[in-house]
Amino acid sequence: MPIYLIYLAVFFALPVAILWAVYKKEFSKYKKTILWSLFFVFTLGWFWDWMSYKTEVWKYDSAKTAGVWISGIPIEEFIGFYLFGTLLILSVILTVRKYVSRS
Amino acid sequence: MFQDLSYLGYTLIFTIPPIIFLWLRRDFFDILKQNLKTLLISTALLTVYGSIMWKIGLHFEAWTYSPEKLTGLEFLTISVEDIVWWTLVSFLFSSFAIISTYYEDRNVNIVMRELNGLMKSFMYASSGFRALTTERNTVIHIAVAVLVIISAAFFQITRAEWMFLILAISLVVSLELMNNAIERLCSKYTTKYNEDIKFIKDAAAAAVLISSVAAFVTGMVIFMPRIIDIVSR
Repeated sequence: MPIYLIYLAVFFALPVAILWAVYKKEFSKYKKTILWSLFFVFTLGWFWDWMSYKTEVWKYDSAKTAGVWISGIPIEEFIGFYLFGTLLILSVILTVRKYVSRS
Repeated sequence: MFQDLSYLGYTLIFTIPPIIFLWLRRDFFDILKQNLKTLLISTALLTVYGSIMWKIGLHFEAWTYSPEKLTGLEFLTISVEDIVWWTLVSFLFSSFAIISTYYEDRNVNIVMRELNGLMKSFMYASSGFRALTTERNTVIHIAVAVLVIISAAFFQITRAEWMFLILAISLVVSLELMNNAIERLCSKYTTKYNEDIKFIKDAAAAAVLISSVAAFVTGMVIFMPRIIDIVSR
């Protein structure tokens, strides 16, 4: 059973989808910030994750993944990276919009 | 080397340098200081959410940690490494978002602006390479360096030897360029004899000489045993 995928869908994809649906207008003002964040997540972040996995800081049980692996890393990790990154940046943008002083 | 890096080690290596970069820049620092409350709120919220989510992920064994890569310290049954990970990553994201949205409100793509600035400084530096071909001594040093590199490839020197050789060559060429720049500056200042200018020029030339002698000794240490080996066969 792909527990990792279900976990990502419930705790990360769902909040991202809800935030996007509710605050789409707000986020569209900061497309560049969102895209650059995801770019850094998927370059620097992916390298970090790959290094950690290769040196066995963390491991994955193949029985709990969807079974699709790319260079020894389950597809969930790639999806997860985009989801963590998107959730992080969307939450931060919302906080910024709420509290930030733009003087 | 990376085999010995723990979870905490990776977290510090990948987050601290970009955080330092964002916080050391005076213009960024002013924006961040102005919005410190926002920064702390978003970091705290994301750290709490993320640490709990990570705990749930571990509970379902979506992934597992190697115990020898952890310190074993926990806070409210959540490993300290996970809390540090979320704190630093959230802090980094929040810092970047505050800066980037600040500039995006003013129609400035801050990442592109920074990249363009970086490209320009590289272009100025590369145009300085033409100074390599204007002075006789520099050209001689470059020719010797090329000869040494070809010889090193021929003798199949070790990785450590390559490192010393590259350091020695780059030191000589860099000091030679610096010497050229100082000489040009001195000539602009005065063409007449001046005791201070003489001292400056002599000191710069001495620096080149010292690095050249050191590079020569490095080359001897690396190549001499191999040359003797070939000759004595």
